[in-house]
Amino acid sequence: MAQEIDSIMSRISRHQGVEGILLFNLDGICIKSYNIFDEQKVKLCSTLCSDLCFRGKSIIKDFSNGKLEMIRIVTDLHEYMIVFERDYIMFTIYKQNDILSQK
Amino acid sequence: MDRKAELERKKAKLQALRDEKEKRRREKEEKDLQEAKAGAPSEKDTRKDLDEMLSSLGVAPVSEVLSSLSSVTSVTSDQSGQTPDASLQPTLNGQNTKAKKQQTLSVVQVQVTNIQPKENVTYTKQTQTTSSGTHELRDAHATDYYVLTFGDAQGDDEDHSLSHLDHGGFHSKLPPGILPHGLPTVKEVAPAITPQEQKKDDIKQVKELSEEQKQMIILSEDFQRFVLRSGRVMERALSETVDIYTDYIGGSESDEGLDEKSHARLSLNRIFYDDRWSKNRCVTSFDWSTHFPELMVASYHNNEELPNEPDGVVVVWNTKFKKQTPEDVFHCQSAVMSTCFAKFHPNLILGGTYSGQIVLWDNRVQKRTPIQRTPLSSTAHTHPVYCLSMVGTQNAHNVISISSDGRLCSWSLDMLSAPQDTLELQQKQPKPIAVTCMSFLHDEVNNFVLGSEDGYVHSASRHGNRSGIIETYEKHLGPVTGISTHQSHTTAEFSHLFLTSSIDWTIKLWSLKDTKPLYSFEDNSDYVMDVAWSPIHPSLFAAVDGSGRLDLWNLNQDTEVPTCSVVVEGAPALNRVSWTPSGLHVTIGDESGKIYVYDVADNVAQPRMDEWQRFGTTLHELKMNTNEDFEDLDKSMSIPQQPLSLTGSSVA
Repeated sequence: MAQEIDSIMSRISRHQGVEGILLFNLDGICIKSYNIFDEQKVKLCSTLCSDLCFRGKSIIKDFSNGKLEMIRIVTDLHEYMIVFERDYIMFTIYKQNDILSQK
Repeated sequence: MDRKAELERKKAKLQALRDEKEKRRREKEEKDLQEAKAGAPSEKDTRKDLDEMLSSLGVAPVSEVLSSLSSVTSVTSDQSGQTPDASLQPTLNGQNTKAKKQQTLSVVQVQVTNIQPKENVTYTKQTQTTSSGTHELRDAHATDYYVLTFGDAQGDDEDHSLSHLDHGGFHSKLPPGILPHGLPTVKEVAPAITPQEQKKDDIKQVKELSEEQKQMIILSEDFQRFVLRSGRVMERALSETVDIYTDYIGGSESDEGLDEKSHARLSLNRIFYDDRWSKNRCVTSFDWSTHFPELMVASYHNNEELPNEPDGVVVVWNTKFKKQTPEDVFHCQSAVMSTCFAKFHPNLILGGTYSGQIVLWDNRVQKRTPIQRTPLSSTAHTHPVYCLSMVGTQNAHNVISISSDGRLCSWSLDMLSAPQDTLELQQKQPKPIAVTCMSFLHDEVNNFVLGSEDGYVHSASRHGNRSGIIETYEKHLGPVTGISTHQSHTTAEFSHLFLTSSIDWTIKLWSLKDTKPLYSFEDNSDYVMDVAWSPIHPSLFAAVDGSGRLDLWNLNQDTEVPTCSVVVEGAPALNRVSWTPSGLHVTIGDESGKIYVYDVADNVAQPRMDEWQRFGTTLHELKMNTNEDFEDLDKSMSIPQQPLSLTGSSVA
């Protein structure tokens, strides 16, 4: 099964525009990283992301009765997609190409 | 630093304790040995052997004891040294069973060590970690004040896969200000000093998750489930490449491309193809989910190039998202010839295999192999199951399967170990029918039509006065490859109509009431492999043939020639055709595992208000044209007199 996970994750990471994927657990420890090789960056990502996730989750819990499922942060340079499952977090850095450049 | 010294002291104490224990153990052993020697048999030979053994035993421990004992006085060592001497001279003691040894007694210094009970530094997770469902009870002090903190939700505690890793002393405490998730519980505010201390601990311990632990997490089932599910969501998110920030002020509208598409009546939308699972496998059947109309299941035959891969593959595709990869893949050992969703159970998928087994997959379980199979016995099927469908209502439904030896079995999903009912479909001579395709009449549980290998088309019923074959229709000139009953939801007027396609290059339109076909479509120049009525349009159907052609026939417009026709790229032999439940797309499966989804232009796919009426007249005309018998003409003329006058002009 570990191979299957690897194949799924590598397939996603090879998707056009994906710059890197990180998998954390709830405490902010990075379990696996794809395409991101800078240790510092990984650690920074994980700590910042876990803070954000806790904040986000508590906001949603206060605001409505739902459970937080996904956060998408769009900046002028990148798009960050964070998907939540019960105990883990998947964080993807994505850069969408311009439509003009696509054609 | 204090702690280190303490630890050292404790270690020394432990060591001393261990030494004491060992010493006591050795002394015990010696005593036992002495008693054993004392009770030695009187025979000389055995005694000598014993003595040797004992001496060898006696010598060794004694030496060890001597070496380990640093603080014991020499007197004791002498004493212990004397005992082997005593053992070597058992005969001196005479023949008494209990040999009294002359032991020289001496005063032994008893070493007393006083070791305090080891302080177990325990801590409860409740106070020092965020994940706790209960709060510890503390005495309520007047000056304490209470703050709402959030403990973890109940369900998470059990499945927290990191709980076993917490023994290492890892705890996480959030920096003040951020509330952890969970149910609110009233908790005392901890004194001011501790959070800071723990924060320090926390920062140190973040990096402590070793490679081993990470590997353990990766292999845990929880993690795998997480990756599968979030991977799916992530793929979908990545595939929807709509850029919501495009700036239209600068350039022209990007909708021009869409207008062009709408002119083409049949255009390729997408191809479903998985390199690993559907390559080189012929598509054998399709089905659509009733619960989620965007889900489609396709079954595949075996891959001849890769005999080691499982023979039967069933893949669930999602037409809503642009993601190229399958939603779910299931496989089994035998090639799957027909598949269907369990209509009233959104999680189950059925497959009928080449071996005659009917297999059941469940997408809730993470297994890709079937969770249940029917037995391979003479009570069930022993021939390939080409036809599989679910009929009935939520509370009373059955799985109907027909194999190519003419046997029909009806099963209950709860019990797949034996069929509820079997029926042998035979023609008038007791010759079993080799059934290739079957279709239940619209909204019927009992009556269905089937096509066979020898070209005959039959209508049959499961129960009733005449169970079995009711009527046999005229032959096709070759095996019947596909059969489709009219699907009109609005009226039941046309539910007696069905279409068949055959290897004899024709498609025939039949009515249940006539043994002769109403019409025969002869436009194809290759084996016609499948035919399907549109679910929304009463006079539209699709047909595919072996030369890669997809035809759409609209009977109200033209009965001689298809309304639109397209040849699939590469002209592969197409095996199966099916309409999406919306009636706006056609999916076709070919022999190499690709599934093409074609868009049908609105003006073709959508029926207009008068389509049903027109179809009625078309049918009537078809009847008229085929009937050469004058009497029949008169009869048919007299009945629909009124509607003809209402509609007025004849429509070609």
